[in-house]
Amino acid sequence: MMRILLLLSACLFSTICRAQVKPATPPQRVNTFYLVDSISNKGLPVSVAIVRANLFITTEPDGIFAIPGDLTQMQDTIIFSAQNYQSIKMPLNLLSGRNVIKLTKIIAQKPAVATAFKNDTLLNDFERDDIAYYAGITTANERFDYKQIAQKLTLHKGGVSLKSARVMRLAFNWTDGMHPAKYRLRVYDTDPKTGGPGKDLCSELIEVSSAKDQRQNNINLKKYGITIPNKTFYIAVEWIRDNYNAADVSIYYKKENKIILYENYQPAIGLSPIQGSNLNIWVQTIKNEWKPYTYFMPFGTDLAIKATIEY
Amino acid sequence: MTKYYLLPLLLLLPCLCFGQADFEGQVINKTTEMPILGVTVRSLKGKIATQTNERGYYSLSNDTPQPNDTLQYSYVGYKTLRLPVSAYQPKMFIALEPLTIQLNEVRIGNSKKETITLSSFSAYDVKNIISDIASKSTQMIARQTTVAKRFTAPKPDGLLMRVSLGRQDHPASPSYATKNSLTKFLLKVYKQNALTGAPGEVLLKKEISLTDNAMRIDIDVSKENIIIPGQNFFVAIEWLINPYNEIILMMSATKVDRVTRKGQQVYKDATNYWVDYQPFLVGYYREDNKPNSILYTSIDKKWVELTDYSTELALSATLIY
Repeated sequence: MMRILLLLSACLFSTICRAQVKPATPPQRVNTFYLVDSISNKGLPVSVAIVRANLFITTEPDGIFAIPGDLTQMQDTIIFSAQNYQSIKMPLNLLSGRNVIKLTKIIAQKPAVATAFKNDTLLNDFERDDIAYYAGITTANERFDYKQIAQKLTLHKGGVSLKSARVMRLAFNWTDGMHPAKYRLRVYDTDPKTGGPGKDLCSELIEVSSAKDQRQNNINLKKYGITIPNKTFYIAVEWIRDNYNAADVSIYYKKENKIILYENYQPAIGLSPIQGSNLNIWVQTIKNEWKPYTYFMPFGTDLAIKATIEY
Repeated sequence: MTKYYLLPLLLLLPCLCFGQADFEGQVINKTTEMPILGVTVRSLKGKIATQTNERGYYSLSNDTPQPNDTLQYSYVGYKTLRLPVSAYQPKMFIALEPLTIQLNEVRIGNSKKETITLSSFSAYDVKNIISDIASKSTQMIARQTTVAKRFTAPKPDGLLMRVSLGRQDHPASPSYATKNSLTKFLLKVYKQNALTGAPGEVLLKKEISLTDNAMRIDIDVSKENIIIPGQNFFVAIEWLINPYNEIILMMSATKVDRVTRKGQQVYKDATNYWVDYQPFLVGYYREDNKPNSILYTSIDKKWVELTDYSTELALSATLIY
């Protein structure tokens, strides 16, 4: 089986070459790593971030990734994070001599759930044709380097079941459209300390595939048995930073009077056209920290993510 | 056998395909081409109605469109106009004809003020944008953040009453660009620098906010009391590079997909985003094919004459003496 090794190198992340096929740069030492479950030793899809270099990718499901160069000389911090696993944060040079990194699963206790629901409610409704703005794209005003983006949703009471979610993304109805995308859907409880996303409420990976011209993804969540314990919770989109989603963005800078290309990843997530009184969008940084997303304030307070709950 | 089942379905298809109908445009005075506020726009069969705003702009959505419907435009003092929806074109200008009422002229005082519009353009000029001009407009906006147009008044000391400009959706919208009717930009008026001929001292700086898709924008600046000291002056549009004005395009680009065992890079088509900023101005061909505008842009705080923009920028200034 042909494997695509994900190289965490500056050339892969920042160089967008438009020329025809040409020889690669001279080979250098490549350090290959295997990210596995600590018990089963099976590979895992893991988000790998190198903090100071501001680089991060998502590995393939086999958990293989590679870093070129002499690790002992690298002065940086690396963070491995995967859904329902304890994150690992360590100096990059400590990876020297290792090739297997084991991640420990968090055993979540499922709360008792009522099984018979009579009613459902749609949260964060809006008219999708009115969506004008999209998050997830680097612009002249801000580099978009976030791992996840989350929408806060508010209920009248806790203890309800999450039935489905609808996510609007940027796509067009091209006959030859070439913008398929995939991403992970995450569901979080509210962190009582920060008010942002907290404990993971879903123990399974929910990967969403969006066809090339599909603007709206309807995701049936009933089979995951997700219970919302409190009055607020979050639905988040986690970017999968791999070759499949890789795109780029052209930015014109007035000061330099030139256009610069940046690496970007699909999908771009719509903003709700309805302006709320509070900001309900949060983003997760490369250091796994959550913070409110103020870029579109004051007019962009909510993401174009709807949710249906049952109670 | 199957064909007998298909026939009724095929007959029903036109009805099933008749989805939501959206109508939008601007209503103007046929004589003066000025927008008319408060015109009632009614879908006669759909039994829904709306009114035009101060730019003469209206937007009417009918969730249950009726076949052979008619749009009716009515306002006191104008002849009512009825337009079959089959003749409707997106964002068209509707020109209402004023009813002729003979009034005796009344003069107050002993002087009559003279109004002059410099570089005036018509609704026709704005509506009929030729595609290559549209792309030129886009290109200009993608590269520049201020564009100033030079005007020459017949005499000095005119009072600036109004600035009008043509505006469009991004030419790529809605095929592969987002659509957004919200925009803010700066309107500026400059004296001409006597030495360089370029824009000099700022006479006016005003933020303009638009919330609809009107193509012709008339900005009343009569209360700003701007007296143009000489004959030459500039009116400029400065783009605000902020999230509010963002328009995102999706195009395609070639990217490295993978590296083979032999070290060859293999490429693939991938998404290329482009971020543009509203508003998108309109350029049009003059009938005499001689654009009279002289345009400047500001790059690194220096004014540079735009020599490759061969069309007339739909930007006019109205003075009163």
